[in-house]
Amino acid sequence: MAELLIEIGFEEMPAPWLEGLAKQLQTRFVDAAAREFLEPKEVRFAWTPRRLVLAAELDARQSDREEPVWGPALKVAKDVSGAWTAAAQGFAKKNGVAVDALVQKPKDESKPGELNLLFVKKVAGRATSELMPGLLAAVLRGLAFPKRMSWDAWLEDGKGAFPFGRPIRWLVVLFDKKVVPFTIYALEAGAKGALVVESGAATRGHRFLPKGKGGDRPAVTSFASLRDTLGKCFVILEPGERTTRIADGVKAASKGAAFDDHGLLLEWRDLVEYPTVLVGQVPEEFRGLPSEVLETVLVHHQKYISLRGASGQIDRFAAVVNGDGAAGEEIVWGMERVVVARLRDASFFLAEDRKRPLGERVADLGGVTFHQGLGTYADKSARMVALVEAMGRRGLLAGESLAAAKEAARLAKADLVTLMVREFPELQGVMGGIYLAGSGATSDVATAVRHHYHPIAVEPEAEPAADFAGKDAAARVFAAVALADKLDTLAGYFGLGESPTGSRDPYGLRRAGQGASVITSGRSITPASEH
Amino acid sequence: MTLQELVFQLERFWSERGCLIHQPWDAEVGAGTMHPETFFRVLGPKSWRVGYVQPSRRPGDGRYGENPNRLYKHEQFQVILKPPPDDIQDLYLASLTAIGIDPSVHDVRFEEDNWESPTLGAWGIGWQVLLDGQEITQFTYFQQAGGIDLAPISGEITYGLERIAMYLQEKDDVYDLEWARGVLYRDVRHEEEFQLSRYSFELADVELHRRIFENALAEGTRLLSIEGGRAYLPAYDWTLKSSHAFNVLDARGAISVSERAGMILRIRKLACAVAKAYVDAVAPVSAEAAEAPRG
Repeated sequence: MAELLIEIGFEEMPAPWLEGLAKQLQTRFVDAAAREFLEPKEVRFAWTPRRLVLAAELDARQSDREEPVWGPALKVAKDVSGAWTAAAQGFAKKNGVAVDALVQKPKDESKPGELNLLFVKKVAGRATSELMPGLLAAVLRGLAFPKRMSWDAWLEDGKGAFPFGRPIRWLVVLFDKKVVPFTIYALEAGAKGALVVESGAATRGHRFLPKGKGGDRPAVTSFASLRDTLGKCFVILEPGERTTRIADGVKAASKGAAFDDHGLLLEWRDLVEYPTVLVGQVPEEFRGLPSEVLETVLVHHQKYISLRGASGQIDRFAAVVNGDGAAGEEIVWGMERVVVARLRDASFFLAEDRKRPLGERVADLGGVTFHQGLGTYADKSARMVALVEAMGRRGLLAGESLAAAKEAARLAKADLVTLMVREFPELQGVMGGIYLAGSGATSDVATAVRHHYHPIAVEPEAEPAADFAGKDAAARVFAAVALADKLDTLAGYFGLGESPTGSRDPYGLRRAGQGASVITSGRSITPASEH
Repeated sequence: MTLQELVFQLERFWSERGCLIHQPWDAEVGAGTMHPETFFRVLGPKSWRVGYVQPSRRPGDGRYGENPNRLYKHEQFQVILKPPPDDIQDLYLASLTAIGIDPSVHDVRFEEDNWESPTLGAWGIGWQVLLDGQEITQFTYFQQAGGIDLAPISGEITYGLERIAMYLQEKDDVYDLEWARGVLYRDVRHEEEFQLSRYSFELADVELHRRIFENALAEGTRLLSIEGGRAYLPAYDWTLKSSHAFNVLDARGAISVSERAGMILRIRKLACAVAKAYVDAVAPVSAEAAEAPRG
């Protein structure tokens, strides 16, 4: 056996695709190899944002094998006198043997009496390196991407145009340390054009490192040599090693304190080839901002992990960079500038918004169209209040809960006309809750407003639900407001004939329906205190 | 490096790499992509390389000159490479070095960010280029324009000039940028930002803009049906006017959510018809050009 090494080098592939692509590469390779009567052993794969790598042990040749070639039925192969017919002679001739050398066997084993002529063809195994181009073409073409692009490429596999996830820029294909020829051509005017990528033994190092020698293209001979060579070129090929390096960096950055990575640690792994974790400071003046606002800027906009100091406030952030961090100070200076610019905007919006109580803004909703056929958000708010009242008449809630729910329904949409929500739409609801909590509203009202878009995901476990029957008053208030919002949306759009289809649901009606059913089924008890 | 020196550097860099250096389009546009040197040139088979500055108006982004980062009108430097050369990313990175950004001491990353212009019926696959966490460039492989699949595709590089200049000059406020030695961005543009923000949020006559929108679409459509053709260029100008009128109405808060989608669709329909008229008109030339070898 000898090692096959494949490295597909491309321009930066989206991080969330990579792990799936690497696994697909493995599966498709094993399947394609099996179709060629090859049995790869020790199949390994790895990836970075710029490459997918696969290695396997393969025999140098397919093993020799026998293939059955069925001929005519015996009753057709012999005439009444028992002599071979022209059909039998023809079959034998086509396969280059004498008729008498053919085997007679039942083609259908359940009918042992009905014999057919059979030629057992001996097929000599072909060299693995000869099979490789066809196999590789099948594997490359078989990779499924969430979104493909045309990069004007052409494969000589009879199928022509060759879209991919991102343009391929180099290919290493080695079998037993020798280059297996493989070529990708340009697609020109719908036909095969000039050569674009040709397989070789040269990989590519980090774009910029080592300093002054970035973009090095050293030759490799095996998976181990590729991994070690890349290591010297500031590319960590194994995702697991990048994870470790990131984990160590974040551990040092957080000084052991707990933090929520919001899934970023995994994403970071595949955003860079040589991860280094750096730490930036959140200036004192912004640390008093609501943590949701800080996290929106740091986590969602910048993909940084927010870290809390001894006081419990978010006072710094961890970020991953693609390099050794040698010029860390300068990079951190740049990152902090971006963060500060956004936080300064946010502080300004927050201060402006707080100049006017949220309750006063309900009137402004009359200027915001919900849908042409369904009026403004002021109309929607009024309908939500009416729906909550109806829930009261049905006995779903009463007394203080009913009053709180009506108030929350009236106020729920008011944050849509705040500067914060115009700037950060993902904070709708949350800002309303924050503004209400800060201006003396009861916590039931503030909580219900904050969460009333939930549950927003189709997955039932994703977000908080509510309960009409339990003892928790906050859960009842939330349930009423969240349900009123969704029922109004559903009734309104369906009433206009805007029903969702299998592929189109522009108003999120499936989500609303799912949310309403989760709320009424009371699958969980309270709105989460954090989301 | 002053803002104007930044422009000179980029013009020189791309000129030396075979780009025609064009001038800004003299109509209100929201992005460099809307310049005919991009919209038309990416269609059809003919190779093309061009670079230009395009002032881009986004009425909804106006902040009365009070926001240090947000502008009614900002400057883009746009490059089209058709077909994109194999080393297009390296070329781009070399352009950063040319303007004084050494990628080996910064964190320069290509992060997935696909681009779409619903009004132009155009979309592409690509990245935003981040410099130490700041988006400085949109890098796109155009896949479709005017609703037409592109072959060959084009590489589009759009530099955000103010952002890059702020980085280079270490300024936190766009108005503190040096446009030329001793002349600040504030001196050149602040009053314009105030007046144009005020116009698009408070003063713009809604009924007038509705009429402009309707009339521009009607005129564009009429031009496409002129006997003998050869009027797709003015038809495109009217497409741009309808798009700008739409943006003003949108900033003015005069468009409801559902109305919005319909209006975008109407602009897109005209843009797609213009693209088709262009492709049909240049088709005989195209067949010949298509036979030429790849450059």
